[in-house]
Amino acid sequence: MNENPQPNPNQDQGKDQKGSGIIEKIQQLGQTNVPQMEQSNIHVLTIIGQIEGHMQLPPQNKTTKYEHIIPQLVAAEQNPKIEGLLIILNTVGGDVEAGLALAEMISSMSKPTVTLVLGGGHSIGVPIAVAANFSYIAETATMTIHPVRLTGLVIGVPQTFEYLDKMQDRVINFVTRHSGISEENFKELMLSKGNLTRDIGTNVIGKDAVSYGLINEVGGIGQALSKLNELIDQNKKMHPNGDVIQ
Amino acid sequence: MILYTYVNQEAIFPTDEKDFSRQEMVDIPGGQLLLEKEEGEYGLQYKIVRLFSTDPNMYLENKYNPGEYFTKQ
Repeated sequence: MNENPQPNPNQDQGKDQKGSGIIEKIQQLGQTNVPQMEQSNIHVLTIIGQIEGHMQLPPQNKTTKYEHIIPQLVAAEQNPKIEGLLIILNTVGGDVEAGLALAEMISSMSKPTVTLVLGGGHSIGVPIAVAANFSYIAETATMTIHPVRLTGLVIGVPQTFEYLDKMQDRVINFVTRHSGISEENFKELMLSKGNLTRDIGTNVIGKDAVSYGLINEVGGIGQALSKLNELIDQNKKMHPNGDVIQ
Repeated sequence: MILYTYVNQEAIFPTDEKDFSRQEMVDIPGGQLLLEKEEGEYGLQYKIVRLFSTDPNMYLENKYNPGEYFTKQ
């Protein structure tokens, strides 16, 4: 069973890293134990630039890749020291499937979550913005709501349209389930004419997003963090033993 | 030059493969780093482009600041 002559290279590397790390610390600081900053009970997830899905975008693009975010969300859910998650959005949107996957992950977390839209939470950023327990939008931040579309070559058959339509329904369902906006209102914003240059859709700004029921409140980092702390306290009261079901 | 087309930009101006291989991700305790290879007077160096972590304290550590050089183990 253990006849593999070559030791696991990863394991070996880990050992080396640990060893040299300690030596480095002794050389630089004269001690092995470096005082650590107190661990934060709130972790922050930033969703910026384009949401990248199955296609890799050129490196000059600023992107949020779902293969980076999903493990971070799993770690935040699993780590008992992390009590809450703040999600900061400034995204132009991107891959619908990847965006919806992130939104579903955030909405299904058992720990309190708060989202804050700064700058923009456009397109597929909208479901992510409404996925948390509570959402904030900066007064000047905007959210563009528009129909699902594709770039590049598309096979022009009715099935393509149906596929897109179904995808759009998934977005609409998610947003209406997780925010105060009605399906009718959301569809109206999505398909209204005359708001965007040569395009259909609506650009909602700060207060408007709140008045439509899409976002809970207008606010910034201060409000978002105090709300998150409040939700954490509530969560603790509901589960007084602090038991995490493992 | 303005191109009016429905074809996406990458299809018209394909990205150089070298651009993709210049950047790489490494795992660090508590997160990941996006590094960019740099061939300078000190040989091959890795410059930090972005830190991927949910721990806000890690962003305060100087050694993970974007633009710092990172020694790969």
